[in-house]
Amino acid sequence: MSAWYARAAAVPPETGRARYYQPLLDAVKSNLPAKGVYTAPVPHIRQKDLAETGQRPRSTFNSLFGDADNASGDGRCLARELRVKRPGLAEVRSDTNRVARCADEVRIWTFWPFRDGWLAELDQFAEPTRRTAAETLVLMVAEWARRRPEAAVYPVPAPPMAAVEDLVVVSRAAIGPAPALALLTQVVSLALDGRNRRGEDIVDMVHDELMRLAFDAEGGAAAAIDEVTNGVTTLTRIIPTLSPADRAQLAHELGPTFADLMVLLCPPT
Amino acid sequence: MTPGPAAERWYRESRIRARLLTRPRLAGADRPGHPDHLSDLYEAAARDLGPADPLTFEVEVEHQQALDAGRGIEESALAWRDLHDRAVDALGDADRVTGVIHSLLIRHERRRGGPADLDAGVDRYRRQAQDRRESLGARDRSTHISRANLAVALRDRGRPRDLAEAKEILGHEARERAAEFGPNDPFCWTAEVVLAQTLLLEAELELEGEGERPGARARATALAERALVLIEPRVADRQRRYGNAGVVTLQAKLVGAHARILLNRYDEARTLVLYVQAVATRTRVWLVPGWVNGLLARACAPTDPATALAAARRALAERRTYYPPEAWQIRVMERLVERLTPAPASRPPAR
Repeated sequence: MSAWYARAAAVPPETGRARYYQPLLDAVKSNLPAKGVYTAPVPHIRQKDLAETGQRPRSTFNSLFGDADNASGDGRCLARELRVKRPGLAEVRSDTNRVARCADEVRIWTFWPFRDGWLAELDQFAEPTRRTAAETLVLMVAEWARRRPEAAVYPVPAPPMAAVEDLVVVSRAAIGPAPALALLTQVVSLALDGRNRRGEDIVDMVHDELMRLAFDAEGGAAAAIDEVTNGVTTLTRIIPTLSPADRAQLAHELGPTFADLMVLLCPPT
Repeated sequence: MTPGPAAERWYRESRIRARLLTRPRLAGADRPGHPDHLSDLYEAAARDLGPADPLTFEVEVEHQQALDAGRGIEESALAWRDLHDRAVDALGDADRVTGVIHSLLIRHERRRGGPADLDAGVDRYRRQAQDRRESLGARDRSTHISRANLAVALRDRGRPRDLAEAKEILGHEARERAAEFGPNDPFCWTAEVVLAQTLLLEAELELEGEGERPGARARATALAERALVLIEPRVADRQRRYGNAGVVTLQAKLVGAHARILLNRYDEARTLVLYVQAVATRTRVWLVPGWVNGLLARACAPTDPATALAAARRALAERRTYYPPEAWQIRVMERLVERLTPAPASRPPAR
C-alpha cells in the first residue's frame, strides 16, 4: 500500500485525489456528536456533498473514485489498486459506492503518520519481537481512531486497510485478512464507544484475541519450542563461563520458570 | 521530510505521538531511565510543534517518568513541580495534559512519605476524585483511578479509620470495575492487587498487637489467606498478558510472596522473591526501593538469619538513598533491621 500512498501524496493536494479527503472529513465531523460517543450511524454523505464543496466537478470525483482503472495523475483508486495488487485484502473489504471508497482512502491518509512513526521506531531497534510489533500496531490503530473519529467512523467504524495489511505481515500471515480486519474493527469500535479508554486499555482488551489469532494458533507451540531450544543451547554454552553469582541469578529465574511450565504440562491431580 | 502531507502540522504531530507511544513499549531493558531515552523526540516536538505545545509536554512527561527510575523521590518531586508549573503557565489549569502532570505531581509528593505529604496526598486525591466524579461521572476510568489512589493514600497514612475506609473503597472499586469492564480487564486486576496488599497491611497490624489482642494471629492468618486467594489468579493473568518479566507481573508476585510470609510458607516466598530479584536485575525494571530485599529478609529470617539481616540492611540502605529521612518507609525498614539484629546476649531469633 506504500506505493499507492506515495503516488497519492506526491501530487499537490489542490489537484490530486486528496482534495476530496478534507471535505469528506468535514462532512462527517459536522454530523458527529460534540464529544464522546460515536456509536450512532453517521447520516449518509452524498457524492454531491463533496463534489460541490469548492465547486469541484462531479465528473472528476467519479473518475477518481470510480471502479475503472485510472493510471494517470496520482494513480488509481485504492479499491482498484487492492484488487490488482492485494486480492486477499480486496476480498474482505466491502465496497458500496464512491463516497465509501473515498472514506477508505481517508482512513489510510490520516493513519499514515501513525504508521510512519511506528515504523521509524521499529527500525531503531535491532530485534523488536513480532508480538511487540503487533501490540504496538494495535495501539496505533486505537490512538488513530480516538484522535481521528471523523476518519474512523464513516460509513461504519473500520480500520485503515494499511493497518490490516501490516497486521497480516507482522504475524507472518498466521492471521488472515478477514480476522485481522475483524479484530481491528473491534479496536476501532472500542475507541469510539465513549468510555474514555486509553489506547493501551484497548490493547489490553483485545490482547488475548490478538495473541490467539496471530501467534498462538497453528504452529505457535512449535515456534515457541524452537525459540526455547535455541535459548537453551546458547545457555548450555554460556553457563560454564559465568561467575557463581551470575549462575545463581540464572538459577533463581529459570528454576521457577520451568517449574511453572511443568505444572501447566502436568497439572497436579 | 518529504514535501506533501509529511510537511504538514497534523502529520508531524501524529507521527511524533506514534513514536512517543511506541518507543517505551519497544525499548530494550537499557532504554527507559537512560537520560537520553527521549531527548531526540523532545527536540523533534519542540522544533515541529513548539515548546509550549501539549504534545511536547506529553513527551516531557514520558521523559521525566523515565528519569524517575534513576533519582531519589525528592528530586523527582521537584522535577514534577517544575514541569507542573510550566504546564500551568503554557497550557492553563484546565488542560488535559496539565491534569496528567498534576496527578503525577500528587503521586510523587505523596511518596516522599513525611507526615505532611501523607495528609496532603489524602486531601488532594479526595478532591480530585470528587472533581472527576462531578465533571466526568462516577463510571469514568479517571474517576475510578482517583478513587483507588485515594485508597492507597489513606492506607499509607494509616490514621485510625483510614485503613477501614481504604478497604471499603478498594472493595467497591474491585466490584465496580468487574461489573463495568469485565473481570478479564487489567483495569479490574489492578484494584484487586491493591486490595490484596491492603489486606496484608491489615494482617501486619494485627500481628503487631498480637500480645494485647486475643485472636490477632488467627485474624492475621485469615487476612493473608484471603489476600493469597485474591492475588494468585491475578499473577497468572498478568503473566499471560504482560509476560513473565513484565513489571506488573513482578509486583503481583511480590504481593503473593508477602502473603506466603504471613502464612509461614517461607520457602515458597523466598523462591518467589529471588525470582523477582533475578528478573528485575536482568531487565533493570524499577521496583519500589527496598521492597524486594525487605521481603527477602523476612522470608529468610527463620532459616538463614545472617542472609536475612544482610538483605534487611540492603533494603534499609536503598530506602535511605531514595526517601528523605522523615519518610515512614525508612521507619519500617529500621524496625525490620532491629528485629533481625541479634542482641549481644542470647535472644531467640526474630521471626
